[in-house]
Amino acid sequence: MKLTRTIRNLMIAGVTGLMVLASPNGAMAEDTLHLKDGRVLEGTIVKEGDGYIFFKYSIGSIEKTELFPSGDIDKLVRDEPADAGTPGVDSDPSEPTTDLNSPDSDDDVTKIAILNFGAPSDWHGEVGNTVGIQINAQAWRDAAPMLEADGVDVVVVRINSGGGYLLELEKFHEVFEEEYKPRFRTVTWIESAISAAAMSPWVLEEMYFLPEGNIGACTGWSGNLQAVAGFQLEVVLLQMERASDKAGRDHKIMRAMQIQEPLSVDIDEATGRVTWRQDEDGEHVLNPAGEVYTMNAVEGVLTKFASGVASTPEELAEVLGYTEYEFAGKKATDFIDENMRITDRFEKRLNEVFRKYGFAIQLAQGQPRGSKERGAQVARAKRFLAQIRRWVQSNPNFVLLYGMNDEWFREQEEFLKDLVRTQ
Amino acid sequence: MKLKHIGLIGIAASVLVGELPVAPATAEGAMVAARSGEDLDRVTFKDGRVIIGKILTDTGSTITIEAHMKVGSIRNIVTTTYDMRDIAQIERGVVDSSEGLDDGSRKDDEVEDAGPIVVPGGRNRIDLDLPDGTTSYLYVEFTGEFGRDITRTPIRRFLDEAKRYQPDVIVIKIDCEYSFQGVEKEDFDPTGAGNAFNQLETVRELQTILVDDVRDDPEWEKKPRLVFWVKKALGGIAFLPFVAKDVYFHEDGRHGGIGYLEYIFGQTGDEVVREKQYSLRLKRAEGLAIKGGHDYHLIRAMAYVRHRLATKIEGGKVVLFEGIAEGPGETQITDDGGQTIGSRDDPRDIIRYKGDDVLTLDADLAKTLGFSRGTVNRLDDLIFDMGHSRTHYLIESRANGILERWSNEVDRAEQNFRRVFQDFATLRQDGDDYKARTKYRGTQIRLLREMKSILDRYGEALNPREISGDPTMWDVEISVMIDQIQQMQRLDRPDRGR
Repeated sequence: MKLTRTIRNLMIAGVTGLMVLASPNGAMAEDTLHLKDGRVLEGTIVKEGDGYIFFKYSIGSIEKTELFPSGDIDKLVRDEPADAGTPGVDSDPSEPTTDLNSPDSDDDVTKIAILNFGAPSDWHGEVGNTVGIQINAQAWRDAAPMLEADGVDVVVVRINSGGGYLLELEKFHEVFEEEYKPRFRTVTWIESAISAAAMSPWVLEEMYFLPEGNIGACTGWSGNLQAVAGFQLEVVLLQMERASDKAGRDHKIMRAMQIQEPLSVDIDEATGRVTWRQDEDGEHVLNPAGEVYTMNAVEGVLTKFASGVASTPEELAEVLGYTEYEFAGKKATDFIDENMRITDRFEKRLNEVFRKYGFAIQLAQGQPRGSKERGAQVARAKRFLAQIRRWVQSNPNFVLLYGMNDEWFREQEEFLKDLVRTQ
Repeated sequence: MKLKHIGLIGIAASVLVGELPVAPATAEGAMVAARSGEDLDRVTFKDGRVIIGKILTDTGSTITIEAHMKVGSIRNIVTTTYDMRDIAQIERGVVDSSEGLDDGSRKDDEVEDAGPIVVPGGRNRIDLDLPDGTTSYLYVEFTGEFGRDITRTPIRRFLDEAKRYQPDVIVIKIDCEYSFQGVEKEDFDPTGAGNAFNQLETVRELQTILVDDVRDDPEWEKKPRLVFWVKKALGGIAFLPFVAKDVYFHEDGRHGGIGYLEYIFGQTGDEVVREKQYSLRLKRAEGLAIKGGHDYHLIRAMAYVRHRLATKIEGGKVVLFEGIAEGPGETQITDDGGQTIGSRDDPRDIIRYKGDDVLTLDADLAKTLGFSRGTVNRLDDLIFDMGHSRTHYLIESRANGILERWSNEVDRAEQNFRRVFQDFATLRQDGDDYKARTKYRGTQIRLLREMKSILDRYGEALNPREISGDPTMWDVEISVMIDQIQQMQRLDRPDRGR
């Protein structure tokens, strides 16, 4: 069922993609982006922010949107409407109207929110960090309006997780694409992003690392180290190719993180341009054949996969290009943290509460119908059931993972009602 | 929850001051005490109360403390037993009995003016008042077993102690047992990856206390330089020295014991999943080396047999690289265990520390590879090498005592857990009437709560082998058992509704 739905979503996404590619774009403005590595791209500016732009362009029949930090841009030539200026006149990133290097040129203090995508190591294992359990897309969707209400400009997704459930990937891709990227400059800040924790935010263009940061090891598996294989593997590989496209990232990187493909890079000394290779013949071999790739911060910087490295929030703000900023979005950050704690309690205490629930039922069944004690034990059972329901409501994935859907709760309630019936 | 007053003896204030120097109570009415000449213990309760006194007994689930209470002009010696569940922190021997006092001959009024010894949340900062240019050193030894004797609680305690002095340099000597959950390995055995990488998360968490917390805590007004001095860092503890830039070795130093990572799962499951598991572990470990400013190839060579570490000289410096040493000046440090070149280490090499399938650093190699700043056998030599031989001050702190006390506490906690569990398991009901059953169940619940209290305090360090199960498992089981006993008691009530 899970696989069927995933395939259906991918097919829908594929059709949508075709429709976009087939749509006439003659009405779209053509801007020209001159990069310092020598490339000249023609396309359209999708979004401009402080110190970066998103630029949509086509390579053959493939259309992609890529983020370019202002530091990589040599010149930007806009094809603007007549009333907005003279078309074709070169603009320079240093000019005030398009000053990508001056994040604070609008004199506003930039508001940065740092949200925990998994409990950081300095929580000392207080809560788990499984994608799909403690880290769930619904909570992140719910947090977005809170961030907007707080006037947040930049959302930092601070990642520390050893992975989780593949079922959450698409949900996170949607949430980041729909709720975050259009509203905020959304970047990752990686302590450790393993497997599903690397794949979920993969649609985000800007990756920053902590010095100890690492990202990768995205092989899907279950049970006793059994790999996701065959048709299902192909689906996940395709899913991540689409995510790579959304981030303007080379497919080869994620592929080496998912399966035993080699990965190496050539780096042009003159331009600094990085060419990814799915072999071991590049100048720098990152992943030998037969291994699964996880990238560390040194490799991230070397290959420009990482936009920067920062140890502290303040350093990160500086690397992001801000000199005047404040950390904001407390409501959302607290919400995400609390959601992690609640869902963690569920995972850790479900077994305990479920056993107490079962014992209360057992005791009730042992008492005569209509007795006060039978009623008291049923009342206890109801309290345990209500506790379980509250936890389940904190994360819709529990319905899928534990089968505790509305129907299950209705059945339990009916069963408890039946227990206290006098006849 | 106060369990029981063992004694409450009213004594005239003048007598007390003469024999037992008494510090004043805090504004919150905290109880304070001092026994002349002995270091005192500080107990901080979850509700903010603080008691200073002498802990007489510690069962793991309760403590009995002799404290002196002053309310107005009345002073009492109070010996009280407290439930551990109400206690946030116990710090043993951290309060000097002379702090805030002279020699016990003070008059009452002077004592009152001496100011509180304890300020909840405060730090009892000690001003060393050193001449300008003096570098203060605080020295501590990590011994025993990593994950038991060295865990987050004792590290936090020792750092709290260190913070009082605001040292310029903290030197941590690592001389730990090469063991996991009480099972020791031979020092020459490099195949410790399985257990070591299971402890990697613990290291990742602990290093945030030693590095990040110190960096971010404003109470550390000057950030101390962290120096590791390695004598024996084999197994999980081997990851820790990487997070500090400054590392020294003892001449007998050994660092490694995390090798053969790619064999920890045997042939279980699919190869691609095993590779994923190796990869994520390795890169998380490499991250610690990068954080400390070290070459991550060292970690890779320590962990992977397949990794071939070699060195070459570039610009007068030793540079590490992965591959085969072929050119002039290049040296092979580790081979790939017979997969391409060389041969798998044989026992004769291994027991002589001459294996080269994986990297185990000794003092010379650590220096050669640029990991160690130098080889020193005495702390004075280390300080000399740091350039402070004439201008240093070595702080006499209680840091080592704090770690030693933690180890003793864990030992006692395990003994107590086993004893209480034995009591629980062998408990017999005396009689068969309701009263006897009630007493029996009451005792059962009390014993289970004692076990739970021990788990709450020492769960991070308890050896599952010593307590017949994982602390987390016990936690759930005890909770369920208490619930079941309570319900059986409820059903047994003579007056229960039918």
